[in-house]
Amino acid sequence: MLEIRNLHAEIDGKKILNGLTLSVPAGEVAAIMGPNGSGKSTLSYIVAGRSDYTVTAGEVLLNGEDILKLPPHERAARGLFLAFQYPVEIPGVTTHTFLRTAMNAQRKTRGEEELKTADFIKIMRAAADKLSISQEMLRRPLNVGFSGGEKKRLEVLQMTLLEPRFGILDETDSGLDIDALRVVSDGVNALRSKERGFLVITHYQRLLDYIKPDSVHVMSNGRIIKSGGPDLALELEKHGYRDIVANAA
Amino acid sequence: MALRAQPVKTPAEEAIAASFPAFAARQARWGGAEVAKAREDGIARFRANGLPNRRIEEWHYTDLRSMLREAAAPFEAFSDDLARKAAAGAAPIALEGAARLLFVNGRYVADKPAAGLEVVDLTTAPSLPPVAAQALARDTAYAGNGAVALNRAFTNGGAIVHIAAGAPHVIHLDFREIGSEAFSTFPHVIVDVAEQAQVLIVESHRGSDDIAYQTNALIELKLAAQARVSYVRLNEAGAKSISLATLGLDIADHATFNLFSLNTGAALSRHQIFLHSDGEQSSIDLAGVTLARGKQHADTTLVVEHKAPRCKSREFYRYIVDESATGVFQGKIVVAPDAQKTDGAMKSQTILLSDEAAMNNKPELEIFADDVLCGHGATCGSLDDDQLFYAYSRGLPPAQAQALLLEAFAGEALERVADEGLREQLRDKVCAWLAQRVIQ
Ligand SMILES: Nc1ncnc2c1ncn2[C@@H]1O[C@H](COP(=O)(O)OP(=O)(O)OP(=O)(O)O)[C@@H](O)[C@H]1O
Ligand SMILES: [Mg+2]
Repeated sequence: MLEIRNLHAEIDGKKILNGLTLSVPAGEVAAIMGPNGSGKSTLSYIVAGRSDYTVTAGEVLLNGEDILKLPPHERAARGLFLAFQYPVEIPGVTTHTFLRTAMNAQRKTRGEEELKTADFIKIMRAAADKLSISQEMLRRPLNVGFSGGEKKRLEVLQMTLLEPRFGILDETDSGLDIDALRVVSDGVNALRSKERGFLVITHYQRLLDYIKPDSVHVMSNGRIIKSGGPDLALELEKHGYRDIVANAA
Repeated sequence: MALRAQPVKTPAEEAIAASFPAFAARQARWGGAEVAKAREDGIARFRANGLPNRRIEEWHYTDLRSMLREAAAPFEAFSDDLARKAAAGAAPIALEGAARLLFVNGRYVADKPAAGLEVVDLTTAPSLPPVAAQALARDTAYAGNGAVALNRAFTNGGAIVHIAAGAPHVIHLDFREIGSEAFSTFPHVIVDVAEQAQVLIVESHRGSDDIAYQTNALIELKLAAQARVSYVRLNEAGAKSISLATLGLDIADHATFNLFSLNTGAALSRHQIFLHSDGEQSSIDLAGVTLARGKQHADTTLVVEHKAPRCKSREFYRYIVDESATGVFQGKIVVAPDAQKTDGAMKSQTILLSDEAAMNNKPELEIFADDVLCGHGATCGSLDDDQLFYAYSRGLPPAQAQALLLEAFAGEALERVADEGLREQLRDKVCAWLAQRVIQ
């Protein structure tokens, strides 16, 4: 489903990804853990198509198609979704308007009909309720003045509405209180299916109790240095990264 | 003795000065002594100073002397037919139940009369009623302004309007310019708003895109105590035109004045606001959106003078400048020694959409009182990359993502328009402008 092969990338001459290889088959959840600054967010930005990074080698395939040449909105229309580590505030655009615009833009790019307003409202309300997002919040400008946890819940709401084929969650658990962590995890689990894949970036094993991964990968210095099953996360929680990073060097 | 270089007059300046005596003589049949005096006063200032130019600080960024190459003769050929033709044109904005004062090529020609509203045509022969004459003879701090002086010299039409407390809620000052060859217009409108009157005034300018006409409007508005005025201004002047406009404001105690201005028209536009707040606890909100592209030059110049204590003023202007257009924002807040507890905040923000686009920002505070809260801020930049990428990543193609962010940027200024129907029409105009954008 998502195939990343020998990816090298840099920004302003600074190398950040150094030959990263990772494969997430359809229906699976892969978790990435790794020290601060190891390049996890950079990886997610590059896969989503942020243009400030230069890919110097490697490829990223989504369902067999090389997506590195596609502009970000076309990647989105092909079913890629990134839940941002730091969701962006957009003053002057209500959350409601943004959600509808995004849903219809993707439909249009795929050659589908736009949603009727009444249908959109119905779908949005139902999804928001499940994530404990109030209607009042949806009327406010996108992410402006939202608490850290509210922003993360809103990312998951967007993912729910856009029904991507592949979702990347970049530290969606950070900033969530205990109840919100459960609500958000339920939201993600509800989307799991044979056709969908997820890449979950996190620092905490706790999230993986809720969203059970099929594989766990350790990232350091722009590469995957160790891969394993769910047990690897428990091991990291106990011993930290030091030995693994030292062994890889 | 120091020698001051006397700049050589441009052909346009020569032509304007030369046309005055005959023009004034032809127009002498209306307006009486007050208009005649204003003309002499205006032309004397023009002869001394010429067209406003970059040597004059307040015109530094809008050098009319170099931009106004050809003088166009003041329009005089009014006819009923012309008025009918102009009136038949599409309305710039739908205003339900509005009293409409139509000005065609500068001349007040028609209205939809309404109770509580008195209108005197300035061109009433042979002289003005005493109330109108008094209004016309008022002394103002901005009489020396170059555009104002020209308007006074060449006034070719206008009206004096009195709005009583029970007047209609919406009054439309509808300026239209039509014709087949270039001309200039100099309307002068004086509006007195009575104590406690509440009114929405819409001032709109529209004209032919085919001719390089020039307008220089002077609108003077006096708010009595506790009057509440919302004012919306729409500049949709013709694409080749020069559109100068001055709004003089005199605001008494406990009065409220909210202005919103949407500027999209004219090749060269300058909107000047001279606000004088004389009574305590008045509340002033000036806001606007300017959208400029091509080679447009769009200038907003404000001078807000607080003379009395405990007044509040907000200035909030946003510019979107594309292609090789130029924006100018000059805002000056003056707080007199007696104006303690003034609460003033001025902000101007610009998004430049191309490398050739330019913005000149000049905020100024002149504060002579010690217990005041005044500040200003100006920003100028391009669209935010993080916001753009966020929108792209949600599936918005570049043109749509940019339009969404630009609409939002303008929308935050539009929020200040209280009337929802009007606000949505203004928003539609912004969206229409954005939809015409050519994205490289
Ligand atoms: N625009 C940039 N210019 C220079 N360096 C950058 C830029 N963006 C990222 N980096 C650097 O790249 C490295 C990887 O950053 P990245 O945000 O991908 O790390 P991360 O693994 O997501 O960290 P965290 O766990 O703290 O979120 C860091 O050293 C960071 O400082
Ligand atoms: Mg990160």
